[in-house]
Amino acid sequence: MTTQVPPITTAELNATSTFEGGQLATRFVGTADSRAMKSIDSLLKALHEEALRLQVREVTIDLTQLEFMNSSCFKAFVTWIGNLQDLESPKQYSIVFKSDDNKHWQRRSLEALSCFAVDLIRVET
Amino acid sequence: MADTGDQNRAVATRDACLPEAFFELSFSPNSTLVSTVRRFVSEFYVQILGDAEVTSRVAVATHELLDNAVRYSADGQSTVRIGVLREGAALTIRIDTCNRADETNLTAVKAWIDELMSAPDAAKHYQVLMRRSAKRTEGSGLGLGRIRAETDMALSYRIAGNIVHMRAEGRLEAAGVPS
Repeated sequence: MTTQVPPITTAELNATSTFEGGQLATRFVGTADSRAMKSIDSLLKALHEEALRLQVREVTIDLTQLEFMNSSCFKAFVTWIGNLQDLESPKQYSIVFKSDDNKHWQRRSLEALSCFAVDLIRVET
Repeated sequence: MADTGDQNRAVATRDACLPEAFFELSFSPNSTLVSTVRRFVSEFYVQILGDAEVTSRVAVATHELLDNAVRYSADGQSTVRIGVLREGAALTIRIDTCNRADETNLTAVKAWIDELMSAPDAAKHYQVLMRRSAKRTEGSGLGLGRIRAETDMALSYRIAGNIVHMRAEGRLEAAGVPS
């Protein structure tokens, strides 16, 4: 099922969101460098709104095909999670990151992100 | 280089070239070229070092330093030099960037790196930076902290006139054997 989250479709990065079986998920493919910063920021804001509108308990972010993410794009995730932390507890949802062990930066970056919001983030490989 | 601890001082006394494998690029970086250089670094050093994990750290540090150069270079020109010295399983990695910057950005670089390297625990300080970043509206403020926390490299700088030299440097253990 399509969502109200706008996709990212550029030569460097694609991101699509789905809502199926009560699961809201976004999959990133390509490279998230400074060129993608604004797009990712907009997408994550829309995803947050969609998660609240649909009242999901969990959002999945699939990074298994994301080659690289720089700190500017990482900041967009930090802001999203910060906004989630600011919500009252009943409105909060969990975030599951699907990662690829062979992309070594993902383990280190997602470990740092997990520490940022221990109760809200789970990382799957 | 600014005083950034014993590890950095020890490494700084070594041969400036780190002769096992190094290269230098002088160019006008933009976001597209930064990613191109990162891919080259990844493909080149995974063969030289035979260790994908260490290579990934070099690639992350290179990308973040070059992103800084793109953002803060006064004339758009920048130089990056990457060197590796192997001693058994230990690798000394050194990544240098050099560019002109205006006074405001020179002051900012000093403040960022001085704060970063005076924090005793890189991972804990990265969490502090992330909390700050969540509320920032301009820039991430995370790039240099990411280098220290995620790549285990020390950061230092040297400023001569309006030219800033930044260095990420670390001694890492390689698990693999170079091809």
